[in-house]
Amino acid sequence: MARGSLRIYLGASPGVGKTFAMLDEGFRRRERGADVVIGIVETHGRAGTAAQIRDLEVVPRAHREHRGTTVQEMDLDAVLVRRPRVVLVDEFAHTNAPGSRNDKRWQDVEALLDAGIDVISTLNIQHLESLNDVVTRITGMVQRETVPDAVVRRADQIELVDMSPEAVRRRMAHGNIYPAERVDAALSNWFRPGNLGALRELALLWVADRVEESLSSYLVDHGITDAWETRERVVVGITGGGGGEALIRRAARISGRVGGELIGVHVVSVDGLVGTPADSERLAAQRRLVDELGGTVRDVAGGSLAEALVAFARAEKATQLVLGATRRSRWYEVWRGSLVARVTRLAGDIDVHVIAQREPEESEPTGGTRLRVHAPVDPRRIWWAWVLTVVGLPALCALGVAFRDGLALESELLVFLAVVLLIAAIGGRLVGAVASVVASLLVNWFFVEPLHTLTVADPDNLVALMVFVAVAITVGSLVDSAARRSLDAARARVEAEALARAAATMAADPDPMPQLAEQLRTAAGLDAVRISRRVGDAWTPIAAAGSIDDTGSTTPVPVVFAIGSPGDDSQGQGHGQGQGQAQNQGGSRHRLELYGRPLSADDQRMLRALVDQLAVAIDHQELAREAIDISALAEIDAVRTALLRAVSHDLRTPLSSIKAMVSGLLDRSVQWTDEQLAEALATIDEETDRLNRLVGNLLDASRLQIGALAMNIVDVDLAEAVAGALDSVGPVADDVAVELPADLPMVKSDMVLLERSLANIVSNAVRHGGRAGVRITAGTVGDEVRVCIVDRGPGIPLAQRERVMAPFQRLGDQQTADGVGLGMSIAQGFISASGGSLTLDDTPGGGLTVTMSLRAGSPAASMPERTNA
Amino acid sequence: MMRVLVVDDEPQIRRALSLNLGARGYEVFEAATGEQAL
Repeated sequence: MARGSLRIYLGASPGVGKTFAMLDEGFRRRERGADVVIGIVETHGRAGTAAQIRDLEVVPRAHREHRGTTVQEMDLDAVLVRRPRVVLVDEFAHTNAPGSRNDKRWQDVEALLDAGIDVISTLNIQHLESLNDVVTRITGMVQRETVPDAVVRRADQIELVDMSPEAVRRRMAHGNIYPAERVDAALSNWFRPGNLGALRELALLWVADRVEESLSSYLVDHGITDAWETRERVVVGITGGGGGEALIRRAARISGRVGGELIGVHVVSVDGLVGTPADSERLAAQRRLVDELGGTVRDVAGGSLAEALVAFARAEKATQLVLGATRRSRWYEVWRGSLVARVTRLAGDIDVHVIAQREPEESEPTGGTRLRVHAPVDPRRIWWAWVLTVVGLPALCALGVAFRDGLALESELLVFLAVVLLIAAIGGRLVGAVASVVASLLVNWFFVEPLHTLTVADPDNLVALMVFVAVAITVGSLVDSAARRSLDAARARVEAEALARAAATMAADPDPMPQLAEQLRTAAGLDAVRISRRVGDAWTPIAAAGSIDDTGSTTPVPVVFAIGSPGDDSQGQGHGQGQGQAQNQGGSRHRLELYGRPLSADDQRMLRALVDQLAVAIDHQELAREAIDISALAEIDAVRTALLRAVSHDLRTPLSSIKAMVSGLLDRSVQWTDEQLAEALATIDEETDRLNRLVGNLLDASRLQIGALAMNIVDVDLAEAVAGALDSVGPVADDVAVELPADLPMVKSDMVLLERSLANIVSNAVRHGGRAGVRITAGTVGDEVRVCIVDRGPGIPLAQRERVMAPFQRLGDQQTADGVGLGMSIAQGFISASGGSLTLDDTPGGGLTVTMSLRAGSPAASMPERTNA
Repeated sequence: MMRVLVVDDEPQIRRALSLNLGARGYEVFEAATGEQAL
């Protein structure tokens, strides 16, 4: 039996009209004569949807008992028995009530399809398994009902029911989706505009992916490798040649018009002979241009430009290929073959655009200019070659004339050839050519019959002369290209070394900026290099190398590179009059200033590579800084969380206790005995004190943390402070033994803070060490007074002592404690703020001894002073 | 007389509850942990 076909209406959110679309399709199929029934349609109480069912046959639902309530599900067996041609099943992702044949409705649908029944269903994007986490992140709601993607992908047709978020919200507000009482909550939750927009985008992307996927599988299934026009892909060749920019822009316009994709391709020739060597400066600019126009650039290696281009275009399923029309001579085309002609022949069904290019741009990078710009041979050698030509050739001539009878013409020619080759080898092509012509004329005039004319009688002599000139020019060319190669190699080596050094510096040095600046300066042979950061409108140097000579009447004008902002080229000119200063620094926050000399194109190329490295280093530094900031923030956050948790617990306990007592006291039906009444009031009193203490501690802690502690350091009588502290701890401290020597000097401290610190430590000791056995002793050590609060409690393990001093830490699960574990850390903060220190030690025989070291004051007059912590 | 067992890990809460229940005429027992209560 043939499997039924599945059609799914996919929506971005509830309420976009999936069920409507499904019902519409049902009616359409019925009109065409199919037997259509409704398996299940969830109307969600929407009157509009219910009305839409009209007279379609509905298979009665199955009723299932689940935890005392009746749940209605699609009756799968009834539908299978009914055997319609088409069944409408709403909510593909629905989870069936326990006791149903399948757990999920999509499994029911599989069963229907297997039975040869066509199914039309609906699905919301958030129920797709693969999007589950994304949806949860967007909406903050976990989706429990999910459908495996594979099941949905198997559907024969997926149709997106699309509606703009605004329209969905409008429908929502009109009560078309949810009943009125749920509208407000829904609009501010699931149906937020941002939420709906994101879900809609997800749905569109998912469907687009699915379309691409089915297209690819179609192409594979049918063995189609020809270009297939879905989205236009426009490929443009990038050569780094003149007029390339215009070509790229033109290609971008072509792709823009058809909503296509722009791909630039640079063919790197494998044998190194095809095409002129690329002008790398220009090539880089053209690459950037493609990027800026929203395209991508790929490098392809290939022996033949035409074949590589076409193969690439075909692999990328490109539909259009854009080439520049070269205005070269007919001879050149015969020699090299016309690129356009070959590409057109190979392209097959790819459209080839040939774009006319303007003359001046085309002629710009050709031979003559290039030779002058790059001058590969050392100028001094050229000069020597000219000297040799002007002096050496006539001298040779004179010698030859003197010994004319002794030598045959061939020998004369060989001698001249040797000298001309020498000149060509020293001076390169141009000098070599001139020397060969001069030499041939001289030989002709002085040695070839008839003498002293420029005519040649013997054809042998003519051949000899022509060979002479050809050999001289060839050698000159070879010297030229050899020199050019070695220059390239040297330049590449310098660049590689500079880059390697820069990379090594960055890896080794936490602050590589000064080193990098120095390397840059030496690599480019500059006077000075400065790296600056933008602060507001001004530039502040963050690293510099070399010294800037500003002793002259004019300040030197730097060449300026923006760092880290793509497409932002060098701005200034070394020879300029100050116009180069930071006119358009784009969005970059850093720049590189170079002082010394104008830079050549090659220098700039190398510098740009170094600047890229610099950008990486700067990014790296900034990220590191941010990471530190973030970890500090995280720490603050952790403290805040600990505080909240502690406070909410410790505030609530006394509050609920007070509340219970007061409610009891207010209840007139209860007869309180005097004794009970007294205890109840005492409890309220105690708990209120506890709350008060807690709030006081919190205030102290926050004051300590923001460093806003006002102190009044005076000479304090320790006995007075201890008495005050015990008083504030309350009756639990009644049994604390105070053993202070009578001759104890005054201590320099803040009376209030000292008392509070003592109170905190004592209350801690009493709480953990029990009421009995807590002692306070004191003694003088040098100019310090040490106060010890000794308890016989469980003590604190060495490893945890530091933790005790941190705010909001309480050891173990000390549920009997009051206060948020702030006591010790506050005492520590207070004491160190007033110039003392606090240490924790073991009490011999078990327990904790807290030692407070305070500065001893003069036993006589007190000198009040006021400081801030 | 009805007997009531108050179980709470916070002594303050235990105290408040037993006082209240005591005033209403119940005989009150206290326990700080589930183990103690058993």
